[in-house]
Amino acid sequence: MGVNDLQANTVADPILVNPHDAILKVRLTTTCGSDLHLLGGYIPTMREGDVIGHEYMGEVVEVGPETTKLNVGDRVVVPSFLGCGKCWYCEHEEWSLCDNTHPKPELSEPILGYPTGGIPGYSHAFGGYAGSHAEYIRVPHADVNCFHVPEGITDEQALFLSDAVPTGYMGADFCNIQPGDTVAVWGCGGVGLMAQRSAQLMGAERVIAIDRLPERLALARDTIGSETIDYSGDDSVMETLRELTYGRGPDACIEAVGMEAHGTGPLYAYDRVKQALHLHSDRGSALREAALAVRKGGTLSVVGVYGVIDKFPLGVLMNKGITIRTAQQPGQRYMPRMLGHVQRGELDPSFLITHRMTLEESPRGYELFKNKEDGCLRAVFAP
Amino acid sequence: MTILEEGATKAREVLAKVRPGPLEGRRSLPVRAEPAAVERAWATADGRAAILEGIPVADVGLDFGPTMEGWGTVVTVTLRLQAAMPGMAAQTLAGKVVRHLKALVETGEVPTTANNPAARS
Repeated sequence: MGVNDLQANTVADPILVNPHDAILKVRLTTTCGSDLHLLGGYIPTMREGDVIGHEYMGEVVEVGPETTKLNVGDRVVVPSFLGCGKCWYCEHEEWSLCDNTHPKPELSEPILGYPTGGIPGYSHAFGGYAGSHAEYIRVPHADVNCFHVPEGITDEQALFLSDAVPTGYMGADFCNIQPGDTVAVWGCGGVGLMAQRSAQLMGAERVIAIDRLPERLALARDTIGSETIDYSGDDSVMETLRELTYGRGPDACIEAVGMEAHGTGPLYAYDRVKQALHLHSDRGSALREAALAVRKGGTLSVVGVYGVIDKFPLGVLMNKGITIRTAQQPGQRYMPRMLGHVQRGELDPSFLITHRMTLEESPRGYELFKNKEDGCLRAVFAP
Repeated sequence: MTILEEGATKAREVLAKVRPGPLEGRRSLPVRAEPAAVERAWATADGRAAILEGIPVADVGLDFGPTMEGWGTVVTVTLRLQAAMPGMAAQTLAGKVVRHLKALVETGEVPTTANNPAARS
């Protein structure tokens, strides 16, 4: 109900508002690291009583009169950013940049210049739609945003195709991976682990994962098959990466940490103090380290969420000729490929689930998730 | 006077000095339709009400510009407010109007958070 004050309350159920809407009964919905930025007050335009949650899957219970592809009872997964399927951006598969799904562009333009597509449960500057941590959710333009979950794919597998998988998949896609490439990934949360697996699926010869939490490094090493670096026990990640890549540096670095990065050096302390005083919103130690570590002419792929950052290393990128790619994920673009990977047994994101809870237990779930207690990687709520 | 009261007084003084912005704003966007289709959408009472909801509008005008390959016909909205608002509010709100008009024409609906569930009264 305020900064770091999450509650489970009873609200009205959503209703069909526009002709292309559908109402879903939420079957599973999960925590995302970006929710922590909202709850921590680092992304403005949240309001008291907003329903959060944007990574979910469910069952169609009602459809608007102009939907044509959905039936009551369909089991579907929905990419978090909403597209319309008609504008220039959607036509060019840039679904998260949709021109026609943001109800409140006047709140977004002063921050971004132009509004993104809308997304549920992610502040009013991103549309203000009620989120998925609820029994029911309204999905606008449902025909293009709801994807049928094929038989054989479980709810737990489908859930993460809503956000964590496409974000990681996009991060790897940005790297234009060639045979023999080495890809380093900062962060072994849900998105970072999916970026690592995606890099493998796209042909990376070596994937190196960087984190500090033993249980997450173990998942990267044992479940994904990445090489790992524990930065909390490493004098210099840069030097370790240099050594691991025979002095050349990784061909691509994926930053999957975002604005609340941890670190060990003086720049981390600087970021932490300024963020605590709300003098800037971002702690960028992972981003700076990734920019420094990537080889000359390589790619820096940023999928962590950022607001306003100090000391952005533009000179590093410019002088080394780095290509930087970043976006909010256009899940609609990747959904057929992602479903194919899951069906063929090449990708099973359900291992991200460490805690299963009810909606009523969600404040506790977020506490575990935020503080990384009890090995919490993702808490999943079944309404 | 407490520190909070002092701060509130200071804030009121500063806000009182904020110069009102222009009464009129203009914004353009390409819309993927012919001008006649834009005019028809704009003429519908429901569509117009959805687009202008919550905006203290005195008058709105539409103009059409060139066609941009792939993007559509340039539509310009000129919005006149009932009273001046701070900063670039007139421009920003004209931007909202043209963006939502574009949504109505291209998709048949205006994005909205009407009936949005929330735990507040």
